[in-house]
Amino acid sequence: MTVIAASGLSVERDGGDPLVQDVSFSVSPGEMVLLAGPSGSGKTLLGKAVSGILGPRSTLSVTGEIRRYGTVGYLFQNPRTQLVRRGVRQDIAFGLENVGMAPAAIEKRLEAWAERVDATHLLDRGIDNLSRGETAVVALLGTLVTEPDLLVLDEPLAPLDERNRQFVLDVVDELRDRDATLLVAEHDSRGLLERADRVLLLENGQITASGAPGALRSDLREAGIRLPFETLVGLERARTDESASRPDGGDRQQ
Amino acid sequence: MSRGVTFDPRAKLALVVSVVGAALATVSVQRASLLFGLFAVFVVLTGSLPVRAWTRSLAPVAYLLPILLVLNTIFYAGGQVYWSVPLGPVALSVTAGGIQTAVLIAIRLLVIAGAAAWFAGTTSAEAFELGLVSLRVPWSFAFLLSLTLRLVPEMRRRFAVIEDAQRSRGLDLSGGPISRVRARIPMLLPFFVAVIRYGYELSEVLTARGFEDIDDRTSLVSIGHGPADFAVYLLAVVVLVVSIVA
Amino acid sequence: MIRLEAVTFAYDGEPVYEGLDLEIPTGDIVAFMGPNGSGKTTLLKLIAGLVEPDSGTVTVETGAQTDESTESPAVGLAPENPDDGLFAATVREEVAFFPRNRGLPVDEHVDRALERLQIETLVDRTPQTLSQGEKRLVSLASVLSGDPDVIGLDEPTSGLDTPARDRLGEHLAALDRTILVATHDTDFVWEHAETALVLEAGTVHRQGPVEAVLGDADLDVESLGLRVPGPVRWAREHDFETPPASATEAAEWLGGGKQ
Repeated sequence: MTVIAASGLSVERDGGDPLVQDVSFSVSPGEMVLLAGPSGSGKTLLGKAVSGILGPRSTLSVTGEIRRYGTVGYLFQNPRTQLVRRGVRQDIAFGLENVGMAPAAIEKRLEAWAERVDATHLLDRGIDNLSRGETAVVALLGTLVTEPDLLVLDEPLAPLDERNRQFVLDVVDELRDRDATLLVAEHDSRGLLERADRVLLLENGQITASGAPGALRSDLREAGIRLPFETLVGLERARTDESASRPDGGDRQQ
Repeated sequence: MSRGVTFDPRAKLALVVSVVGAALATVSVQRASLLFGLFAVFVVLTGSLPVRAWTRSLAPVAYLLPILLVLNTIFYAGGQVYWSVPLGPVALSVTAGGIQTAVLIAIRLLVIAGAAAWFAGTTSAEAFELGLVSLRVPWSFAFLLSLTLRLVPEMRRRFAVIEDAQRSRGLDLSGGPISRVRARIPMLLPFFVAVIRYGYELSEVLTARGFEDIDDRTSLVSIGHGPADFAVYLLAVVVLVVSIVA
Repeated sequence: MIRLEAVTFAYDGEPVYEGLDLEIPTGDIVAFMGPNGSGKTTLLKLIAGLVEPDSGTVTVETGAQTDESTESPAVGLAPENPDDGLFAATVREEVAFFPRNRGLPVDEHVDRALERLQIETLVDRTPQTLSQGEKRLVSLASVLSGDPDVIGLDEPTSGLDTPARDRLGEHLAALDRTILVATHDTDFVWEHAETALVLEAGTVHRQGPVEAVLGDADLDVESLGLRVPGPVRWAREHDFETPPASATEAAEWLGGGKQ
């Protein structure tokens, strides 16, 4: 059972530069997959291609197969650009208006989702005065209300300060509790690594490693992905354990 | 948006069209000024747009006025000559006729800008779109139209950021208007890039938010005519008739 | 010395600073820390002379003279988004902008700036085509080339992977001038900055050496919207007095003797 499957996906710029090369992966329902990669690795392009929003652009060609078994919601790297209305409530309702949902039903769904992510206080605000974190949550709500089968988040945490990061991570936790399917692209894995079911490492447009978060720590560090300090310490210990034999045979445990 | 009296966007549009038509039809400075004055009174009385916000949105036009007055005075010369300087085969003159026409054009501009500013300041994008849809304009077109109205403040914001970045590397914006314009040339490229990037981003955003293939669209906001709107329609007709007949 | 005296500044009607007094000694790498919206960028702009305080004075003293913010500033500022500053066709032209505006020998300053940041190979590239990390370095070079006494960086680690961040930190340490970094990246500050200034609601909540400010167990950085630096949190969780200098050291402590 998959929600989305990409096979041999490549994105090239006219004039040769391959930006995404021969990528194949799939996402199963209820999974959270972390697409980790340094900046320039192609993860934004991959996320957009997979979501079907790379419009027919004259300079990019997309080849390969993408099979979508459901709807996809997308959160842009700069969530501000995703907001098309001046009022929060009107903006969140936009997607539902487009599919012809009755206004009363729109209101109900809007308020239900706002409550789930603790953002009811934002509903009557104007988008111009929102903080970065609030903007991210409003943009997210705009897709959540359409109840997509897969949510793709492009670098949702990167520009946020600690308070706003927590706000967004809380939303991610809430979604996980509801068995949402998530694909998150990030170069800073802190906060996400411990929440992900699976990690795909993207370097220079190719998937160089994939597997459980714990198994990929070393690869992630090599690739320059930011890891929590504890993880780095753990990697160091694993390294020294391998290369040296210890007479006392054990580590000092907390 | 909803303070004072609220009007249906279609009624407002009718009034704006008739006021603009009246402004273009008058040929007397006194009539044009009267039109502007009456419209200003209307804006204040209905209270749907705070006067300060209204005058603030007219500020850009105010910048244009001095140049327009000078140029038009010279261009529309006629009647009694007050001052003249020969320039080759012709003469640049300040004349009674020139002054009168220039002032008329300036007041017309104020009326048109004032009416448009009032409309934009009292109508939400959603109401604007619904008004157009009821006039048989396809929603997607109406929506793109209202998006472009947001373009200017967005681009102004992006331009300010670019300007700051270059000022912090020694770009000197003091001095006369010509040197200031010349100083801004290096900002054109990043600004151009920012505008293009905005365009690409917008097309991706619209795809992601379900803008493509919309059959039947609903709206959280709704519009409808109320008693006040009929008064506005009546006012629009009166303005038009008076300007033609009187 | 950078001095702010009784500076009051409001942005769009919202007060940002009221009666702010601040002194920053020259020569350090100083971090302005605080959550988004706490006025870090505004402070950089005030010091760079991009905005004028509503009242009060901002003085940037460069050695013997006092700099007036209306003339060519001795403060250069690299914007939060490098794309906002990149306008030229080549990196060389980009980096030449500042020295040219200041009337300095252009080629000499351009070459030196590129060399300091080890990006000589990028000299003929088009800035728009570079990676995020490269753009940041070009942005930094284009500020460095004007030979300002003070360099301001706005969120310079945003979007950088770990190696690029470490390189940036090393480059900053090698530059012998006052560097002001506005950031919420506490780990970067911990590793590379010398002085930290914590801003909150328009005032300086704390100022001092980085270890003292961010390592202070009595300072609740989280309530100030900041994250505790990784090594500091690790030390607290494992009951160590002082934070380890690196993950390697931390591993040694666990495997070996220190407790």
